[in-house]
Amino acid sequence: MLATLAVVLVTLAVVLVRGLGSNLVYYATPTEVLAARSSNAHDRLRLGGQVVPGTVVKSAHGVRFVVGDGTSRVTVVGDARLPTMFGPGQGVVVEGYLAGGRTLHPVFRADTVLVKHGSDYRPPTEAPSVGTRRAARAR
Amino acid sequence: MATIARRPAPQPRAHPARPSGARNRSRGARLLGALCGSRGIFWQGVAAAVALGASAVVSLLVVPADAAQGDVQRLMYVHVPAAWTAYLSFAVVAFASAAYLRTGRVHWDRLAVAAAEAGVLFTGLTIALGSLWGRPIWGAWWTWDPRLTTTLVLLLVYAGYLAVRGLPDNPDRGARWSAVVGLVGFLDVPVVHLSVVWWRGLHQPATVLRPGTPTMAGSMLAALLLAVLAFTLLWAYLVAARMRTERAAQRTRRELLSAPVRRGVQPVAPVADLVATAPTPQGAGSHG
Repeated sequence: MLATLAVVLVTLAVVLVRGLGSNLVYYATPTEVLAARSSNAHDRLRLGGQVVPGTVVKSAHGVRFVVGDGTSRVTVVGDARLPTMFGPGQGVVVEGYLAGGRTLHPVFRADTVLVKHGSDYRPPTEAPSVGTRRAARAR
Repeated sequence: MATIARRPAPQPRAHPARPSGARNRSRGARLLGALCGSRGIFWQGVAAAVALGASAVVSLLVVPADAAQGDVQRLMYVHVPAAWTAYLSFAVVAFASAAYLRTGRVHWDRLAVAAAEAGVLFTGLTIALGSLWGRPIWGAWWTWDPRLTTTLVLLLVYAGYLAVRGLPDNPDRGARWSAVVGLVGFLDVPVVHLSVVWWRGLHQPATVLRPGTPTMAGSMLAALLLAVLAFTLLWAYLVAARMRTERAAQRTRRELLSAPVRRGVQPVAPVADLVATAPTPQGAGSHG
C-alpha cells in the first residue's frame, strides 16, 4: 500500500510540474508572441488564434497559413497532420517555435496543429437527414 | 498527518459488532440501508440498464449529430455524463467523509469508499472518452491543457484516497485518514470545472453548466440530460453494490479481529521476547 501511495504521489508531482508549471498560460496570442520575439527564439511555444481566411496554402511540403488575433498576425508553416475541422476562420493552437524571431516577419514553424472549437452544438440547418449530415461533415 | 493521528478516535454510537437496530438509526442511514439491500440493488440495476439502453438509442439514432463535427460529437453523450458522475462521486465522498469524521458511523465510511471507487472509474472513463474525442477533432489524444491536467490530478487524488485507506494497520484510522483526503481533494472539483474559465486552454468552455442558457440545440440537450440520468442510475447501482460488499468485508474483518485467539499475536510474542535484539523488528511491513 505504501508503494501504491508513493507511485500515486510521484505521478501527482510529475503531473503538477509538467501540467501546471508552465502551462497555466497554455498558448500565447500572436500579439504576445511578437512582443516577446527577441527573447523567445528557439523556445518551444504554443501559438493560439484564428486561421485568417484566404491565407491557407497547402502544398507537397506541407501547409502555410496565417494565425491572427484581431491585432497581430503570425505566419505558420509546417507539415503537421491537420485535424478534419481545420479551415479558414477556425480557432487553432499550433506547437513549435518562432524562426527568425529578430526579423521583421518571423515565421512560426509548427510540428503540431490543434483545433480549438467552440462550445456550441447545432444540428445541420436543413432537415437532419443522413445526406445533409454527410454534406456537413465533408464541408 | 501527525495531527490527524493524534485526534481522538470517533466512537461509534452503535455497538460496533452490530450497527443496526432501528431505534437509533438516522433517516439517512435507513435510506442507505433500503438502497443497499439486495432488492434495492436489483431494481437500481434494472433502472440503470433500461435508462442506458434508451440513452444509447436516442444518442446514436434519434438526435442529429453536430453540423461541424459530425458523428464524432455523439461521444458527448458518454463523455459529459461520465464527467458528471465523477463530480457527483467526489461530492458524495466529501459529504460522507465529513459525516464519518463527525459521527464515526461506519456506514458513512462505506458510502465514501464506494463513491471514491466509482469516482476513480468514471474519471478514468471521462479521460479515455475525451481522448477518443480529442484525437479526431482537436488533433491530439492528450495535451497539457488546464482542464485535462486538473482532471488527471482529480484521478490521482482519489487513487491516493484509496491507497491511504490501506496504509495504517488499524482500518478505523485508515478510514479517518482517507476521509481527510476525501474532504481536501474535493477542492479540485470546482478547479476542474472552472479551469476552462480561469485559464486559456484547448478544451472548450461549458455548454450546459454555465451562467446563461445552454449553447446547444434543444434535442441535443434533451438527449444529454437522458444520458446524464442513465449514468447517474448506473452510478447509484455501482455504489450500492459496492457498499454491500464493503459491509461484508468489514464484518469479516471485525469477526477475525475479535476472535478469542488473535491471529499471529500468540505464537509470535514468546519468540519476540527471545529474539528482542534481532535485526528484524515486528511490524517490518511498515517499511513498505
